[in-house]
Amino acid sequence: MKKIPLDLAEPGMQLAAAVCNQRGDVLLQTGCELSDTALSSLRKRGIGRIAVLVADIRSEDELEAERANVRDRLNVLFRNKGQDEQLASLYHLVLEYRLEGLS
Amino acid sequence: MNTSPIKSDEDILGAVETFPSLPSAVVEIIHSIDDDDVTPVELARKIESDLGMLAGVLKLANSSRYAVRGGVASVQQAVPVLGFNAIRNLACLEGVSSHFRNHSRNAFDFENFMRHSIGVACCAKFIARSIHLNPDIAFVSGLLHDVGQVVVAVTLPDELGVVMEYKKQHDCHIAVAERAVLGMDHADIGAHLTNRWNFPAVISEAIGSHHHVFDEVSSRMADMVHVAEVLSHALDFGSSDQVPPLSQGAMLRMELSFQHVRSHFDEIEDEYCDMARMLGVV
Repeated sequence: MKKIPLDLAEPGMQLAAAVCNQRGDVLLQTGCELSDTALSSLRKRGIGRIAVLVADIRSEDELEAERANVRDRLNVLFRNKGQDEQLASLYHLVLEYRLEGLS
Repeated sequence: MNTSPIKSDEDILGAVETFPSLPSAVVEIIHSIDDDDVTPVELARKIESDLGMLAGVLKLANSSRYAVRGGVASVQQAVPVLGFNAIRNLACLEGVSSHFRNHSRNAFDFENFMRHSIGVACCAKFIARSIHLNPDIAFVSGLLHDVGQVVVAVTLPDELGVVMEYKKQHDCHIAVAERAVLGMDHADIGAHLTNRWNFPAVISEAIGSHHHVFDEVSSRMADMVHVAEVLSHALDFGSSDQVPPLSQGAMLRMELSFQHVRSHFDEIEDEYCDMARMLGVV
């Protein structure tokens, strides 16, 4: 499962989790295959991210490249963290979060 | 040598004071956050007093994750559906973003500024809940914490150029560069302006102290906005340049560790993405 911005979602992708509105009403069920109409409806509703099943369409090389990108970006963002233990902890927590779904 | 063409604090503050203040309807709505006696009818009246804001709030309400079948056509109709606090936060979001969008000049990157502001607002709201601070005051404080930056960009473009050059040369945070070049930073300028604009003291103080929590006794709201900004940069909301220095004192005073908020990262990012999409700054 991977959460992606709606702009990166494509017809044919399958939802890994239901999309709900603020009141908890289900807009699209888990497992639903995205169509142009469904994507258009989600855009109108201002949905920012959705969870889709993508692990099966990425090769191990592609996943490793994504993991490397995540680490490179975090190393740039945290380049001045020095010996700060709290920032080191934050770095590892964000890394763990970003790597979810990339294994 | 002072490389800034402007020499005195009075000159700088005189220049930033030429930036138009937020509309009174927006300031009144911000004040209502700190007032338990405000009713939904009064909130609706404040929103309806500014037709631009009314149209913007209804548009956001109908194009958001909060939207309901058939839509909402009035604030009174929207409050019971979306919730009082959600409507008030949408009104603040609409009022602030419209004002800055309308007054952006000099190639200021309004969209990235709003992404960063929304990111800090969302982080602030979730951290505030975990340490029992008012999450709505936290949201607005986060939304407006960098108001000084947009005002400097619009009113002092030449000086900002010198600041950015200093920042690049020293690979430092922008507040450090501003203090070196201007003698004050965007937090100082934000506090000065929001005081003039008659903001609630708790929000002005948080805006003014969010980069000054290292060696001063600051409010919990200021500590929280400071930490929310660090978290927002770490989560890379708004084309971040780097994670700014973190005050250990602020973390200790709040009795907070980032482990506490780790379980909310996903929720925070969902809300950030939704709001950025609603405002069209994705």
